[in-house]
Amino acid sequence: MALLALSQITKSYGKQDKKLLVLDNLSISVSEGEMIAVMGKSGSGKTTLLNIIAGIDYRDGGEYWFDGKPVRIKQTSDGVRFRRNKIGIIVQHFALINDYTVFENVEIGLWETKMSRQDRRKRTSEVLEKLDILRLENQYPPELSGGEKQRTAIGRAIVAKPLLILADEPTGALDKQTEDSIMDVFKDLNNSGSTMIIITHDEDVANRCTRIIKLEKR
Amino acid sequence: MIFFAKNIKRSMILHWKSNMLILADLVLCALMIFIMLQNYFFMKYDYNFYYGDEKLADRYRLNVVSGESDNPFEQSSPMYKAALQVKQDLWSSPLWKTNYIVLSTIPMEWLDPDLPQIFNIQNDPTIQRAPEETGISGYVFSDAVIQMQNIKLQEGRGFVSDDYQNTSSEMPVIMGYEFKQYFSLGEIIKQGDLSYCVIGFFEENSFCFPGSEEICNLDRSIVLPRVLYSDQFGEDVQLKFSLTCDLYPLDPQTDVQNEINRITSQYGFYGMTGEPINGSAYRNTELISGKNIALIFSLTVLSAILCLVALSNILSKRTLRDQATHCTYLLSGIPLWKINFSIIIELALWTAISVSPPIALSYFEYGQLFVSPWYILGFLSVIVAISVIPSFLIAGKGNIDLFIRNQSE
Repeated sequence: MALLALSQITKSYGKQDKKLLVLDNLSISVSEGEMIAVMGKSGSGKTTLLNIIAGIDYRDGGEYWFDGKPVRIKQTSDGVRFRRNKIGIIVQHFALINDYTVFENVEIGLWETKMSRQDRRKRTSEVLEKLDILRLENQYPPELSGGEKQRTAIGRAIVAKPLLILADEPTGALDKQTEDSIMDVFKDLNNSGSTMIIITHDEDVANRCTRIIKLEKR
Repeated sequence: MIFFAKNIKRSMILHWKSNMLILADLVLCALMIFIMLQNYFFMKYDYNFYYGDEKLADRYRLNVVSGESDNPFEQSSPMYKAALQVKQDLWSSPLWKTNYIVLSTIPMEWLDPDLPQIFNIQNDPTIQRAPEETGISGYVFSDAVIQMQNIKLQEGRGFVSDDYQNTSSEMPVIMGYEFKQYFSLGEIIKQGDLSYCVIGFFEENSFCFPGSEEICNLDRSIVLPRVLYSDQFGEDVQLKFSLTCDLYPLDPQTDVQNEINRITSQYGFYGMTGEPINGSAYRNTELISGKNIALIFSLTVLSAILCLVALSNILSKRTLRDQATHCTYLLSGIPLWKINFSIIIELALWTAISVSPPIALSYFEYGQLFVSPWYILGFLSVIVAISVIPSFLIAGKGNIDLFIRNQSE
């Protein structure tokens, strides 16, 4: 069953005669449990596609269905509500908050749930252990390596058990060895049933996914 | 709730320098508002103008317009000392003479229980008193009354300054003409713990003028220099009489109100009105310390504007620096209104703390909350509410799309 379906999606930037068409009648369908790589040259619309799926950006035309329901995003608050508990996002630069510990950075993903303090702590600890960073729970992001930071960001993305995990160049800032370990984490998550879409320009990363979608620059 | 607690704690630690600046700003503004309100409450009063073709008054009645929560005649009042100084200046002014007459009633048994009932005011139709009053007609005269109202003594002497100092154990008393057959000059009358000394008798058919139109016969009255048992009132009764006395300007053209204003403003005392009793008043004066109020008001407005600009600037810069964090919050599903509201909670805390110095100052100076802190809080809240607008606009423009793209480059 399709978890998300995009039909005839168009997206442009700029005004009137300076408009740049980035996505032109794009249609994609993603089933539950898939691990999809989205590839393409710079400017082909990969990040734009991810942002539309995540409810961060607004499409100009087409339809977007997620978990059987139509998605209509008109403003920031719509996107926040849509993403909450449904979508986890991982970005290249980790997007950690330096003033919070590793534990708190992961727990942020649960602050908008109705879980009790005890349950939040338990769930967060489970995720930290799964990602092998429990020993770092009281450290702060500036004290971590690139791989540890990305694991923390992954933890925040998955702690609320979202239906979909989106990753924009998750290994872009990492060395090869760390990249492999992160992809192992993604593979484990996928094997556990998580649906994932990974934006990447790296062939090695793409080849570890179940399907590759290639975008062409307009 | 966890988001508010965590974010405010983070913000207080991370932005402690800007928080201290915000607090200093708000404290300065609160102090300015406090001083302005304090001066305004001190000086605010209404008085009537009596212009017209009537003759100019030669007699004025003083009134004190004090604050609701403060009685300046009580020794415990923070205004007591100022009241004493105002009294001294008013009574020693070369522009007028002062006096007061206070109506009193003395129980007959305090002088002589065997005195005939004709001395009971209820039996004397010429003496107008309340129906429930019973006893001997009594008056309290300030020291100039006998001379100013040209009341003659047949025997003995009038009151001297020592009689007003409460230094003697015996209360000096001047009696009306009809008491002569029952008491003698120099006689000491003791009744229980009360003791009187007869120092004089008025001539027959003597009169005094306590109010604007009253004429009171003194033949069956006694006159005292001070009230009996003044300490029972819990306030300085002599001071109260002295500040609610009558003024007799030596020159009818004297601007009495202006002179009263000049005296009271020296000591930061409450406004006092001089109401003309028997004519119109020459008046060319404005609200007391109007210039001071205008100056303080201008300073308050200026400090409020500076506070507003400074707060907006500090908050905007903080919000700009925090944009990456806000984007992370938005990515994690935390709504924008919570991010904005946590700023408001933080500012509300600093605003509440900033009112503490004016409260402390008020208690230190006056022993009470002279100005309600709610007025100051309300004014500061308006400043804070306007100051956060730019930071809300900045936070609202937090573009996650740009955040993701810019950080990835």
